[in-house]
Amino acid sequence: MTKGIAVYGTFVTYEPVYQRYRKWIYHRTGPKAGQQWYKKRVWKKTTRMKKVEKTGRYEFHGPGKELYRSVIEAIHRVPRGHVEVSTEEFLRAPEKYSQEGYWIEREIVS
Amino acid sequence: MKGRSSPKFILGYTDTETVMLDFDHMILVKVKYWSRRAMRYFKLGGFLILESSENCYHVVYNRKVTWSENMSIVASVTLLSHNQGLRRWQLMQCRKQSASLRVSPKGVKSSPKIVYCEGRQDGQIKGYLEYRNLIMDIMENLNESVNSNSSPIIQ
Repeated sequence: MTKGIAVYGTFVTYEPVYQRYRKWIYHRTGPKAGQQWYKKRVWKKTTRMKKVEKTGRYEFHGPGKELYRSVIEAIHRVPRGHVEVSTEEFLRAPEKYSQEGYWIEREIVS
Repeated sequence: MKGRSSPKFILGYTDTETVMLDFDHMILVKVKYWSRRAMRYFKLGGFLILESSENCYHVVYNRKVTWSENMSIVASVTLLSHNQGLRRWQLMQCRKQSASLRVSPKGVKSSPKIVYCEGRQDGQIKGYLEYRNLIMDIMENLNESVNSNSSPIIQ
C-alpha cells in the first residue's frame, strides 16, 4: 500500500454480552436408531447485545471513483478494527470488512 | 426543518512513501526551522506547511522515500525538536505502518490550510495535493447530501 484515503474515528457497535446468570434449558432431542425420545439439558445461548464505543479505521487505496464509493459505503457501516483494503475488494464484500454501528464524534489521534 | 449533522468520521491522506510531520503546540517560525533543517540534511527537495489548528502544523516533503527511511527521518526530527505531539504521532504511525494526516474538519477544527511552501513541489507534494482535492470533493458532496437529507450522488 502506498497512497490512499484513511477513514477513521470513534463509533458505537454492538457485541454479545457475557451473561453471568446463565440458565439450563431442555432441548427435546429426536430419536436415533433404536432410541427413545429424551430431554437434553443444555446452556441457554447468550442473545443479549450491548452497545460499546470503539475506535477503528479503514485505509482504502484505489482509483478516485471507487474511493468515493467506498467512503459513501463507510458512512453507515463501521470497520472491524484496522481495515486495510483495496476499494475493489471492499465494494465487492463490504460486510466482510465492516460491521453494524454508527460513527460518533470523539477526540482521536490520526 | 432542521438538517442532519455532518459526517462524524475523519478523512485523511495516508501514504508510506511520503515524509510527513505533525507538529503540535509549536509556532510557525520554529516549524519552518525544523522543516528546513530536515529538508537540507536529508535532501528532501521541498516542503509544504499546512496549519491544522492554532499552533499545530502539518509538514509534507517532496522526495519519495522507503518506509524505513521515512520513519528514520521522522524519528530524527522528533528527537531533535523535543516535540511531544510529534513523538505521540510518530508512535501511532509506527503502530499502523503507514503515515496519515487529517484533511477533513475535526470537531471545531477546520480542514488544514496551506500556509507556506519552499523548494520543489512536483513530486510527493503534487500527489498529496491531488488526494487532498479528492477528499475535499468527497466531503463537500457528503455535506451537501446531508444538508438536503438525500443520499449522496454516486457519479
